[in-house]
Amino acid sequence: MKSVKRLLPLLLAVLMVLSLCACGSNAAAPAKTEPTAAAEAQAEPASEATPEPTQEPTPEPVTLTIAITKDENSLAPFTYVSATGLTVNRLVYDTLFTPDMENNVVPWMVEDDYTVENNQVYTMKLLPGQFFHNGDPVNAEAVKFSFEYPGDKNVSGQRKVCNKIESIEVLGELELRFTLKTPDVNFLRDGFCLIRIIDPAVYEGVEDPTTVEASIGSGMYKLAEYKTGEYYVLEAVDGYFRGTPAVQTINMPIMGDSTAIQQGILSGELAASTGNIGMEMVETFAANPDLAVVANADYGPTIININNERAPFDQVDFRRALTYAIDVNGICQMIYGDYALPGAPGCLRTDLPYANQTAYTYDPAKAVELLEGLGYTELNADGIRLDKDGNPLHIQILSYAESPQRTRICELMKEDLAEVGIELELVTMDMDTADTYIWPDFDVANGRDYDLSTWGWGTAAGNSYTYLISLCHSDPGIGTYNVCGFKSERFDALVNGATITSIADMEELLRQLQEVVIDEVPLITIGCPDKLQVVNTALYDGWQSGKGANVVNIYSFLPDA
Amino acid sequence: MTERREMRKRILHYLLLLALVITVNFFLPRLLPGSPIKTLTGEEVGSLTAAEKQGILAAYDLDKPLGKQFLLYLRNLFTLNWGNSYSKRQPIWRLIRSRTGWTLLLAGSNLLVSTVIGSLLGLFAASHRQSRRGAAALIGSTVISSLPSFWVAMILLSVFGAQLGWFPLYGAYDLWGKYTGFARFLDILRHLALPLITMVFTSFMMFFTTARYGALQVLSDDYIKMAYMRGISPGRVRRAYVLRNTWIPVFTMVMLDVGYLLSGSVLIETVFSYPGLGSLMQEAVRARDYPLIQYTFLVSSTLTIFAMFLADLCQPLVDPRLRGAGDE
Amino acid sequence: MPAMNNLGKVGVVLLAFILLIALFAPQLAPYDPHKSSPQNYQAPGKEHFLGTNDIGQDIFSELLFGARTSLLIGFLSALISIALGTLIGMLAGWFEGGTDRWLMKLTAFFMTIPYLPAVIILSAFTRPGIISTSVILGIMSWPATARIVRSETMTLKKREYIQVCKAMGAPDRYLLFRHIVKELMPLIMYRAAARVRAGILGESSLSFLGLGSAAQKSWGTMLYYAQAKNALLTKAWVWWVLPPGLCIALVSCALSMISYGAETRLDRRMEDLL
Repeated sequence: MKSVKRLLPLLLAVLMVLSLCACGSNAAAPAKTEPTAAAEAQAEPASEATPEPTQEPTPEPVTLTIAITKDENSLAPFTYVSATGLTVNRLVYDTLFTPDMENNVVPWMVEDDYTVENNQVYTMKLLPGQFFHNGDPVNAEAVKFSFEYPGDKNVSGQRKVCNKIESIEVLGELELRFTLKTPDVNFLRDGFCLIRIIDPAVYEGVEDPTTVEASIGSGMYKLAEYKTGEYYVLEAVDGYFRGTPAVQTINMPIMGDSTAIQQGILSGELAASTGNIGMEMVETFAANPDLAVVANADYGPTIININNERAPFDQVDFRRALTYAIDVNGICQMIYGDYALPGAPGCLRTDLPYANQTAYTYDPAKAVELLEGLGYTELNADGIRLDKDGNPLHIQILSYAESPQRTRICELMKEDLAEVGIELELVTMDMDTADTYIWPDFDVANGRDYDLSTWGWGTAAGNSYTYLISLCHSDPGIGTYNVCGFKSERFDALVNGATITSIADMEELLRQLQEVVIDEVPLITIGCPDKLQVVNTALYDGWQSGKGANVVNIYSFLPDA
Repeated sequence: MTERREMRKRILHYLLLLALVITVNFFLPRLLPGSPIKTLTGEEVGSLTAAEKQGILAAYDLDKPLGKQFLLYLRNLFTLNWGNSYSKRQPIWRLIRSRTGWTLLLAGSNLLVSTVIGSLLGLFAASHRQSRRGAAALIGSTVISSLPSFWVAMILLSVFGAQLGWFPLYGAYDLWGKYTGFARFLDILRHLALPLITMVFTSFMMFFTTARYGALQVLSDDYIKMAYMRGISPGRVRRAYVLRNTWIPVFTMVMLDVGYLLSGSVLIETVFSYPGLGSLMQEAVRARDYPLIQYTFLVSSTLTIFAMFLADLCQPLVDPRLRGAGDE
Repeated sequence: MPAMNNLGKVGVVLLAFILLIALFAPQLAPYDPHKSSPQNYQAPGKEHFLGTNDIGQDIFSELLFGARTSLLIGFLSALISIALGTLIGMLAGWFEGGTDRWLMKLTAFFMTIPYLPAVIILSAFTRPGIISTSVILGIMSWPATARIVRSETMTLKKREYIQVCKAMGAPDRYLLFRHIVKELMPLIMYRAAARVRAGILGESSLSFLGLGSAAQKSWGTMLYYAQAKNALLTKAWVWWVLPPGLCIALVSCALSMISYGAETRLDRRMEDLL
């Protein structure tokens, strides 16, 4: 008894030392972890498939364990919380059209011979053999209901789309015609790819859709189980109209900690995750023969907002000086490595066909020239420029405390700006608190209270043709993303005077708008980080990925055609 | 002061405390900058007009004057009509019930194990203070308790969970295999192990120091020396006198810190994906989910008050010196 | 006990050593810890003793400068906690009666607030920084000190010389701040060591949750970034995760040893409190 007590602290200390040693060997010998993981997989009862020994081809597994990074409630179109929810509920709910792995819009629930008139009237016919998970058939009435019901309910994204529709005519059991209020070249992507088809029997007459607990869709998986804060279980739908999915069951534990998720993938317990990995982990994962790193273009940009309404940022030369003083491409490279597309002053991804190819130039001398031209000629003892009243040039940047990456960007900016004599103060705060300064009440018409801030828009925003217009138009009704308070008469005139009748028109307008933006600098785009994920190919080899898509998508689970 | 009156005073004291907590709980979330509008409407909140946003707030009674909202809150609280969470769209009662269970399990077992291990080690360190072994116990315990908890958590998870595979990486129980009976009990223990060990590492120290100090005091007491001189074996001395007299300070320590221990550990729950009350509270605050914040805080505070009340009641039983005398 | 005194001395020496390092960090550090460079994620080598972090800053320099912030927050939060706790405990123990009851209710109320969630809420109100972190840590931890000080004050009150002074007409304020505080000093020192330790550990926990000031160099934020950049899953844990963790542990140890040393002077007085 006594000796046990004596040994206890020593034992614990020894254990700690041993574990620290074991910790280090993790990266050094990834091959060693493999037999353990495989043995463990065989030992555990119902968790995941047992990989067969190497000679035979891997048979299709029955069950995969994929981590989901957030609790997305019942995954229903009215209860999901974030982009992760949209990703996963696409497996449970179908949309009329869908982006393929090249990010082109293709018909999914409808026949290929749909017609579009003037970008305003869409006539289509549903493919036969589609059913909701409770047995109800998917017909034109159900589709019509799906586009009308959200129109006056609280959930915002779908509401805006539904209110663009003038009328929906049911032409037959499976045929219908949509007429929009005004022609819209983007509706195929922004509308038909977004609205999830729901069962009228479930939602008919329901005032508040968030109270509906069941999650019934017509997608390739049905939501078999959901335990709040703990997990989801998705079961494949037998006889799904595009083929029974290759994976019978998907177990999705809700894991908020990315380190734990990556541990799980390394040890083989998890086959994949809806979340990203850091670019510093690519080497470690790539060294493991069972894992594959998947990097794809993601459309969400990381940007630095500039409050265009506040001095000295209201002077366009000051904003230009900022773009010369900050090594934008250098920062992008440092933070994201090779896994991002560096930002451009045109605000759009440079790999788009209509993107302006002008890049940011890092030229501190030019920045100094511009600053001196504005009157900031004197320096104080610390090397900071003084304005006309003798006050040092001191500006603040707001950043989310929850995002270490963005804070690092601010730290790098601080160094760059100090070189040209601008003192940057970094202020981190809780996400929601920061939002109240940058985007009060989520309405750009409410003004703003910051100097600079780090920011980002989601994939959906960056992927849309209307991104630049929403970002920079000074009318709050049109420029709904204009948190910078940018106002340019040239820009507004171009948008207001344009008549868009085709995609080509849209692209031409965007080319012109980019030129204005390059000249007048509303904000700084650091870059578009890629979606960096890792999957276990030994457990399952059907993974598909593409531009703007998560590896957890419908194509990954379709049976081989 | 009769015991009855004393009891009534005590109950009144705690009820007053509870009333204060209920009131503060209402105002605290509303003092947070920002509003629940984003949680209520979803991602694309920017595309709503101001009028639409107002309408949504009105649907949840959030546009009424503060006083009226307070009365509504009280009514809902006491009729047990706690409603749905803004962010999780589920009845709050159900959410809290399951999470509270796991938190109590984790916190309760932590309390138990930390107290026992801490006290035993402390006792050992005190009675062997002259020897190397006692010093080793002291230094070893000091080092272990100096390590930051999340550091320990991550290392344990990495080594024993991921690499050696002895323990699972997430959850309070095996989510996929549906165990029942004894197998389930073992499964829960297996999932509890790593979070528990982490918590014990960080919380046993307070019991260690208290027990050790208490034992040291007693050991140097005259009557202990008398007992030794009379030839009573050191073992018996330890068991009979020292042990009994270190109970009291340790118990007092437990009472002092029960609130802290019960409030759930967000760090541990995050790293181990353990579904407890702490992470629920954190998510609620992040989402500005007013009702969820209110009720989770309330439950946590009530549990703490209840534990303090129990401790108050038990104290005279444990410490004979306090029997019959007023405390405050 | 001579052994304890030795331990206390070791603790003092260790703490002094670390304080000196923190004080002379600008002279000792080979690089400016805020200076980034393209050589990120470097292993330890000739140029960088402990390698570099994710934006190419020298980890060793970060460690030295981090000592300042961590120690400062530790001491400041302890100061606030002890000051508040002592004041409230003293007043409650001295005046007893109604004052005591209300102050104890206040204490009990603070003890029922769930710790970390309250910290999260308080952090949402304030801008992260050294002062706000210290204040938050300080005000969440004074109740325990208050109760202990209260008990001790009640005992001290009964001391003969205090009674005599009172009888002679000495005002309460004089007695409290001249005599009682002096008598309380050893106890306060003992609690202070524990609170500094808790403050340093608390700072690192807050940083880990993203509630600290990520812009500052402290041991806690070093661990925060190391964890965010998955250093635990790669070899970088040796030079990025281990050093700050060990530094925190070292300071905590030193403070514990000091408090063991201080113990020996407290004698019997401790018995009545526990």
